Amino acid sequence: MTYFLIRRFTSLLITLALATVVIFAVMEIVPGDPAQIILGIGATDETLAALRQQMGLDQPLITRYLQWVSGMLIGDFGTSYTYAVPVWELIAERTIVSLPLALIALALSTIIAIPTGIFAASWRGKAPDTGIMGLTQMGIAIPNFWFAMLMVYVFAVMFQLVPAGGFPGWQAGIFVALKSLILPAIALALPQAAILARVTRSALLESLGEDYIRTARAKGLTRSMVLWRHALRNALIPVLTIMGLQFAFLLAGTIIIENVFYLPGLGRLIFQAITQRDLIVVQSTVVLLVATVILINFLVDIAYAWVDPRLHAERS
Amino acid sequence: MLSIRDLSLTIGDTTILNHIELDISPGRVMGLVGESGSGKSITALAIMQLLPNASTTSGTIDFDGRNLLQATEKQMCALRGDDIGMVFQEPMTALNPVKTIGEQIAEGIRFHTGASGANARDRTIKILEQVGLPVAKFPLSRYPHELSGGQRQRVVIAIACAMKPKLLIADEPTTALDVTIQAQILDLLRNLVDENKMGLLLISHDLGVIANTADDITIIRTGNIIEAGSTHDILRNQSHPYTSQLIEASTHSPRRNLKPVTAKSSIAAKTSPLLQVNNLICEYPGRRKSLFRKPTAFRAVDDVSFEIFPGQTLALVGESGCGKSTLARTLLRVQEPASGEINFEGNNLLTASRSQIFAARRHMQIVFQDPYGSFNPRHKVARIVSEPMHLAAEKLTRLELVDALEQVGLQSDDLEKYPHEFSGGQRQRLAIARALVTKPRLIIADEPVSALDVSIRAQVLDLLNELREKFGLAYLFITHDLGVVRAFCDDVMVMKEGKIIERGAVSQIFDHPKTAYTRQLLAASPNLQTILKQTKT
Repeated sequence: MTYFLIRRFTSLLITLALATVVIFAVMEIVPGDPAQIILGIGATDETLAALRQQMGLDQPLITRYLQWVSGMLIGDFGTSYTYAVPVWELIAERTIVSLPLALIALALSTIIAIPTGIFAASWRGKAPDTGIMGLTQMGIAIPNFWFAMLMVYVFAVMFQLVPAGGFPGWQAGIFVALKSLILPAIALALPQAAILARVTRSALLESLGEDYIRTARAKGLTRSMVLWRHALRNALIPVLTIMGLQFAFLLAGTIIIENVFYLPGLGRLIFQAITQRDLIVVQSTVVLLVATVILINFLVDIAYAWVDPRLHAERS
Repeated sequence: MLSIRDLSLTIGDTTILNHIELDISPGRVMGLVGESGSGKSITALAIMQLLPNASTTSGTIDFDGRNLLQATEKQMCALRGDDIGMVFQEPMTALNPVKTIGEQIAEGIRFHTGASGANARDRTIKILEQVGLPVAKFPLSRYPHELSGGQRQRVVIAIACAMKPKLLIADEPTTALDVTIQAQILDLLRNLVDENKMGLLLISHDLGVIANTADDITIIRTGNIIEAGSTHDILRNQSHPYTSQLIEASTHSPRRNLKPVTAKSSIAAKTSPLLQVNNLICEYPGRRKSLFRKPTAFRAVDDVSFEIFPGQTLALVGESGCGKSTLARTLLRVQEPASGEINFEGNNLLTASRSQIFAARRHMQIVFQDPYGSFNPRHKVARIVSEPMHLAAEKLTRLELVDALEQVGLQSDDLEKYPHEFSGGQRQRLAIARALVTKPRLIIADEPVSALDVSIRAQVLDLLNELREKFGLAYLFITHDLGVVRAFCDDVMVMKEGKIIERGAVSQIFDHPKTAYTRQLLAASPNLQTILKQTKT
């Protein structure tokens, strides 16, 4: 087990290092000069050169890469070109919106999906199963922004239960802040829940077809006991994989939903930074997201080992 | 105790069982023998009432005065695992991989008795001891993957016998196991029957296994009972033609028109060997124990040398994991050896160029155990059979293809069919046809008849024999079945843990084995012929 963890952790560090190289290289290739964008097209060559020197853009590539990476290691992510504030502050201020949003959405999606999947699997081929499968098909097909707008109309405009958009900040009170996150979280969670429910159902049905299920039935266990005690834990592995992927998506892939609800999240930060050629912000945010995804995969690996004893096979 | 009367079962429009009658009494072993698709397993599932949803039944299954066909699901749950236990064929998959063996055995005990954790634990330890897994060596916290196939089957038996059932059903309990393990498991079942006075329904396709273990035999064929009676009477009288056919097929030995080609006779005749293997070593990378040390390699084939002469049939026997298949794969150059020499028709295959290897492959073909797995299901027979020729960059004429099919007993219109349209035996014929098209001189046959029913097996052996005599083919015949070796092969090598420990002419090795291991193998493998002889006297 420890060896398994060490190996996974080593590969995590290597992947992360490679990712910083790739991200840096891509940012260098992308056209557009940050100094030019800050000063506008009327700037003279001298002022441009001066600004470049001030921003360190005149240094050789390797030096700049090393400065950037070593800065990040001590928590210095550089200073935003456009906002002239430390990148770290920008990211932190967005993360306190995006992270809770992603967590709520993931929790919602899991709470909806797993029981639904189990229910559908235990009614396999009968009306409840067909009905649920039809609904999940719709959940996957309907774009979440459309669904989001529908919810805004119903819950914010018609019933005025929640705000239609914007984020008051956590200082306005936890309840108030959560209220403005609940619609976007539902909009994000539903399509994810639809996918996860289908995965849960098919994983369960697959493990219900295994030989050990027959052994358990021959032991005298009833159908539902077999499902809960024997099939479910074996079915968790593909479910965990999908959950890991979904969390990574929820954290960063939510630009559209953030735009629909005017939420100051990480997705919008990257989007704005790209349009403004605020390369240092883009670079740092992307690295942070890559790190999160890799870390989540690492956690999923640990969860695998917890679910499946064959993976902690060090005892002989 | 159990009495099945007039049991019929249909799934959709297909009749699976037709008026089955079967009786089992306490303390006796009833052997149910039949070929695949005969309805053996369905009969067992009918007793357990674990049938597929679409099936409809009629008749009665009377167990202790209760008709199981009329029992509610709740009543069946109370019976299953308590009064009726069941053991399945595949020990590797019959246990839940994420639960410890202790949990899995105790679960049934707790379900049926409502015993406390500690109480169930004590009973689990007791039953594990009874099936030969003492808790000191096999703690309850073991997971299935930490046990061998035979040990897992013991756990499955422990689960089935935990409540001391009146009836135990064992569906091919030893088919997936090596012969020595098979003998141990059969012994264990026999002891449990004698100790607990339970009835055992032992289902098998292997007449040898049944003849060895069962008190009574029922023979089933395509859902009909052919005959039933005591083992002794059935084997002695062979009153039904199908019974004698089954016995003949199980002990079938192809008639040889030519003299066997043994290594001794070939060396005496100064024939040069077709294949010569010298000091072959194959290794697999071992498990890394530390980040800083090189993992120790696992030696699957350890310093093996042998020769095959033209026309010779050399058997390679050994238990699973002994390195038989690794050796075959290395000979075909699918896998690289760590060191050694493979000379085929005078060329060293390990130093040969690609084109020389291609040429050598034409003359060296393989037939696998599971033909279906080795065919692309979306290709027609014509393409499958001519596949080796793609390698040789030649096109076969239709006439040659038809010829290849006819040689293995198939017809020309089979060329347009897909593999799924054939039965298991026909697929093995296709695999042989595919091996034959390049006019090989050596065929490596890896368990070519193990997956086949006895009657089909007899036919395939006849076919292989005919081809051997017609074309002077040599075979490297890899098998775990000593019966087939005796029936078909000239020489034999016994392999154990990667080493060849004994070799020589089949009759000599089998009648006068030198090593303890060979003796053990021979003693463990059920020999129908010996049993038949005993019943005659």
